[in-house]
Amino acid sequence: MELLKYYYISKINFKNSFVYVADSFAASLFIAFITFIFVNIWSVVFNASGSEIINGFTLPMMIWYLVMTESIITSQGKITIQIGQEIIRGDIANYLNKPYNYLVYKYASTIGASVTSFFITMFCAGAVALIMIGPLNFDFTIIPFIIITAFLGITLHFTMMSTLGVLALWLEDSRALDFLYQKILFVAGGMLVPLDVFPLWFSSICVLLPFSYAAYYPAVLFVRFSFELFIQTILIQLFWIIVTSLIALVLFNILSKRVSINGG
Amino acid sequence: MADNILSEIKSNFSMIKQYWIINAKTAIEYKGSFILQTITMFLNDLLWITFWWLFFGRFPLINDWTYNDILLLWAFGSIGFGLSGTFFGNKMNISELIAEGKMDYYLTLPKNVLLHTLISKVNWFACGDILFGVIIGGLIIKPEQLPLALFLMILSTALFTVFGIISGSLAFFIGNSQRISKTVYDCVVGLSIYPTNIYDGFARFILFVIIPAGLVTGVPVELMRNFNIDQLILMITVTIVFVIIAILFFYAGLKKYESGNQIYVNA
Repeated sequence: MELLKYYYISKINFKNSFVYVADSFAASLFIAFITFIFVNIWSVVFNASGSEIINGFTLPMMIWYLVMTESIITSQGKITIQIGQEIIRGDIANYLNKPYNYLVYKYASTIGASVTSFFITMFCAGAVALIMIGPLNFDFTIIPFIIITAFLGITLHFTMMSTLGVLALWLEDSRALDFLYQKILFVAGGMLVPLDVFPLWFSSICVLLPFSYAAYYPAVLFVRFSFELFIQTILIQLFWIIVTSLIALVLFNILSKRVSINGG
Repeated sequence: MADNILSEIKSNFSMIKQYWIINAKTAIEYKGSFILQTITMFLNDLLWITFWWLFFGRFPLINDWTYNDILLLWAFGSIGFGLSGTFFGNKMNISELIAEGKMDYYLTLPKNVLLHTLISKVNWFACGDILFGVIIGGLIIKPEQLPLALFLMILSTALFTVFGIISGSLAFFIGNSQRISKTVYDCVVGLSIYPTNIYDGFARFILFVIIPAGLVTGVPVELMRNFNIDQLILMITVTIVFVIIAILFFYAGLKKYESGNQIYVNA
């Protein structure tokens, strides 16, 4: 019963997201453009190498990998900034007297809206990949597994962003944190290129961090599925979701005690 | 006639000077936020070149471009973007000002509307870009190439500003266009931070002639690698043409502007 209200919040936001489909398409055009840039970069790299496979990836795998990471990472918008702004401006007070946990509410509403955004990005970036490179050699029976790991990736991305958003109370600038977090995802999360391309010492560090479980692993499973990797990935994703959620909730509880409402 | 033009130029310079003083005072007043944003953008750029360092570590040559060329590209990109954001920081808010009817403030004052709009806000993050660009540029640009590099940076700054004006002014014609304006501008910025020598055929024609986003950083890097007077003249010409297009586009749109009839504090 307690969770049912969050289900309805999610459902309402999912329905609402259809009102802003044109807006989501406009935002996805940029992602399609980035895909276009990387198709060109990888085409040059593959041509120069004279090989059809680089670090276990063919050209279509490289591009479709990027389509998946972009769809996961951009589907939720800038949660760090949203939460940070609500805390800094004091809007948070409007949520504290409601019969729900602010962070779980935020998660439910974000997940609802991000489903539409995820598929629109997938469609736009996928169209560029399909036209310029062609289809991925894809086994459609793995779709349920991909949905699970992508969903967990989106959830982990949310918990990491919300932790940083709550930190805005102390740093008083959530945009700065968001900037850095996004770039860390680019590099250590394998958002732009698979970690396999980077030196071993670097990718070995990255697999110990949570960022790669939001983008790299779901996308690798999408282009190169193995059941063992799937089980290992979702277990570690769950581990990091629990750890980062706990950090966010503890920080938020500390924050709630520091909020002073002056009325008006 | 000449006196009027001279007096208007003097008046505009005086306005620019006053805004710089106010903006500098604001930075000093909120120095914590200013320092944080500057450091953040510096680290942001540093992470980007770390990405390219790792990438070029694996693939040392991309169509004859080395990691040094990417650093040069980033020097032009970050200084051009940084100067544009510092001196014309309000360009990114043009679509919002139009959609929310907030252009009234600039229209009611006896100043150049476009110039006044552009200079009235500073993007403090851009200072981090300038710092980063100066350090990277200082490390890789040879002293004898410095005059050319500085001139090309001015052109890059003009092009970043021009694309900001054009993308923001879309709101005059299509209403609430913040998202589209941002997407258009992001595409230009996006193109300026990736290698530009990877396109050929139709894509190259589009990106270097029709929407010359490739000129912002790509052509400056090519000119630094192999100087070619024809390419420099072409870049100057295209920049001037786009500055004129941006000004005409803004003022054509301004005729369609409808006041929001709002009262707000511009502090």
